Amino acid sequence: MILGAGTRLVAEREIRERGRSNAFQVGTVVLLVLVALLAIIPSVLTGGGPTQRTLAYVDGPVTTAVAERARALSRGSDDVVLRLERRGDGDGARAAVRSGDADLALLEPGRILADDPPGDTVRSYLATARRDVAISRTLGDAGVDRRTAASVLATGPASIELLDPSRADRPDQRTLALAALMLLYMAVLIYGIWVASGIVEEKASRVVEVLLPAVHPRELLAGKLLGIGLLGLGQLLTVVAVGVGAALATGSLDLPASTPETLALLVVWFVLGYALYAALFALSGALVSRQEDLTSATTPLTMVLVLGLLLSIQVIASPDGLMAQIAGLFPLTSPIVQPVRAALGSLPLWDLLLSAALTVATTVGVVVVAARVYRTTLLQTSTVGLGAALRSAFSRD
Amino acid sequence: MWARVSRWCARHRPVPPVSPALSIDHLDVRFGEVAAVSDVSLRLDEGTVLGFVGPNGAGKTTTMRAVFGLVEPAGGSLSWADAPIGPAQRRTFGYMPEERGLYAKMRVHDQLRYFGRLHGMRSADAARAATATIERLDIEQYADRPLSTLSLGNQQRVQLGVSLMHRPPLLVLDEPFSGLDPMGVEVMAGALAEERDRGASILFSSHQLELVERLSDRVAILLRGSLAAEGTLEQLRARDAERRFVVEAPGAPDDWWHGVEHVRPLQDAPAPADGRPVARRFLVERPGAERALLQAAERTGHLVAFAPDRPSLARIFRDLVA
Repeated sequence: MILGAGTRLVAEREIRERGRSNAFQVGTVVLLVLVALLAIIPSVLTGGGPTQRTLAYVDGPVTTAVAERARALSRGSDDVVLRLERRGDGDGARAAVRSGDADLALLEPGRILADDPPGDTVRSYLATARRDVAISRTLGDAGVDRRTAASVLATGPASIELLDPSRADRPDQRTLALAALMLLYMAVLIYGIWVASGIVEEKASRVVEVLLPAVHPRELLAGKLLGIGLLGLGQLLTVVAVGVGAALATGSLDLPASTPETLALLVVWFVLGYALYAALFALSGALVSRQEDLTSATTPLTMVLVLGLLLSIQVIASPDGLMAQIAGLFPLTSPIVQPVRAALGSLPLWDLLLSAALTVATTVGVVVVAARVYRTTLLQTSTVGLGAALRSAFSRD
Repeated sequence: MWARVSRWCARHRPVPPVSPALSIDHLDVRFGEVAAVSDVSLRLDEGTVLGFVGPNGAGKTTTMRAVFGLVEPAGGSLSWADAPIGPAQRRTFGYMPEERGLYAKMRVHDQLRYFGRLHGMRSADAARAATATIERLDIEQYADRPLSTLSLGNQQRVQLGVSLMHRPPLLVLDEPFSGLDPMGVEVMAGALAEERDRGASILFSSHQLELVERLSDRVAILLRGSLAAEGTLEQLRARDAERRFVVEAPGAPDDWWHGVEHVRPLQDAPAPADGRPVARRFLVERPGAERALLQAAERTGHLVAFAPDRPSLARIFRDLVA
């Protein structure tokens, strides 16, 4: 019934006309560029490799040993790598820093001159190097041979084993979660507003007078939601495909093994979130009859979405926290919070199913109310309050 | 005498056995406390044109909207071919609402095709009909332009196209001539005549009474929500034909007719600059009273002409409204 010929025709028109509009085409291109950039940027940022710092040192047995030990420690780091400059005395080393030939100078084993305060990494290289040199000299003085002394100092950092290997803190997983969050937020917001403004457009232009003799209001609403939803889904899939493709092609993102599930969940939550918010936006569009009044009618919804976005950014930091769990189960925020938690590997199955069920139930309720209000307000030419609209929508029978 | 017989015959001519296509029976529409339409009954035979006339707010638009289910009647019934009008019938009808409205950004051809399909045409048929309609309305050069880039008159042609491209058996046009230039009026009038010849029943409203007179088979006059008169133009004219007189007495005092009983002066066209109308029209409220009127006119010594009046629709309308 709902998917009758009228619904299909209305949906087709939405897809064709909106797909053809400049707003949609420009929006798609902008989104694609953004996603491609997001996928490529990590490799651009890390593309130059580690930064190099030049350390001038005063030629002397201890300072030379400390400088060389520091350089050895920095070797292989993806953060800071040291390069050495030897100077005959303290004045030479100072002059090297002053002229910019060196970033810092090792004047004595425990005295450093620098143009800018050195970072923690450089400080730790130098501190460790000084201690290592002191230890090896003490070991040498105590008659321990060089090789034994060297092996004592070669002890590396401890290896770390995770209880749940999927919980490894990977920056790429956060990138994925952030991308999923932004995509869902934008999709739900943009398509929701399309639904609301499409409804108002038909009322404001009075085209409803010509439509209603030919189409049932239910078909008109269903077709609009379906058409815009399918168009949005198509756009989302394109954007995701381009993003993942760009990431794979440039090798910039080390995509987590859970990526396919994350993407599948992204699509599922897009459908759920779109259905819920499109119905809510349809309801707010049904209350006004001029485009000028639409912004004020949709502001509460937009604010809820922004709140959801802010919560989700919190959730990225703490995907298992109490707030994440509450926001994940609250139907109005779960469509953008749960995909983030899923992308971070912190979404238990029961939590996912429960929140999906709550969202679906809420959506069904909102759709029923929105359809009734839509039908009763379709021919009205003035703004009505939500309360009055609900009363007249449900007083008929 | 002979004239009376022929008039009687005209009035009592046996009605050809056509069943009414559209029939509106005792329609009542209320907006809260206000009765917008009360007890209006109308019938529109197949292949005929009914002109709908009445001052603003008389209930013409409301009656038309009731046909399309856009207002809920408080009482009465609407039927098409002897069956109550429902969604299935409405989908075959064509409607041009008073408040014009189409999709501003949609291209003209796409728009027509879309509405053709909504009215049940198959895709290929709708595309063909859209092309044919665009040709017929003489707007070929705008076929692929968004509607909003067209002039208002041309947008109105598109609106007409939307209402008739699916060859509706019933065409309802609310003020189709308003805002059109003379060329547009001719295109619109031509389209109405073609649709009627095709067999469509047409209900249209207009304030341009000469057009209504020219295009309609029957005329219905609506006043304050009620039907004031209905019939063919001849019938409307004949209604008071024996009671209407026009008297020409230039130079007679303004009140020469005062004191003549059972005679009512009718509102006339604006008086000439000197303030004395050359011709006055009267409605005789009791047969025979016209003799007294004639005598009074003769007594002025200025009587030039005393004749039965054959009013135009505009006159009939003005007299009813007054």
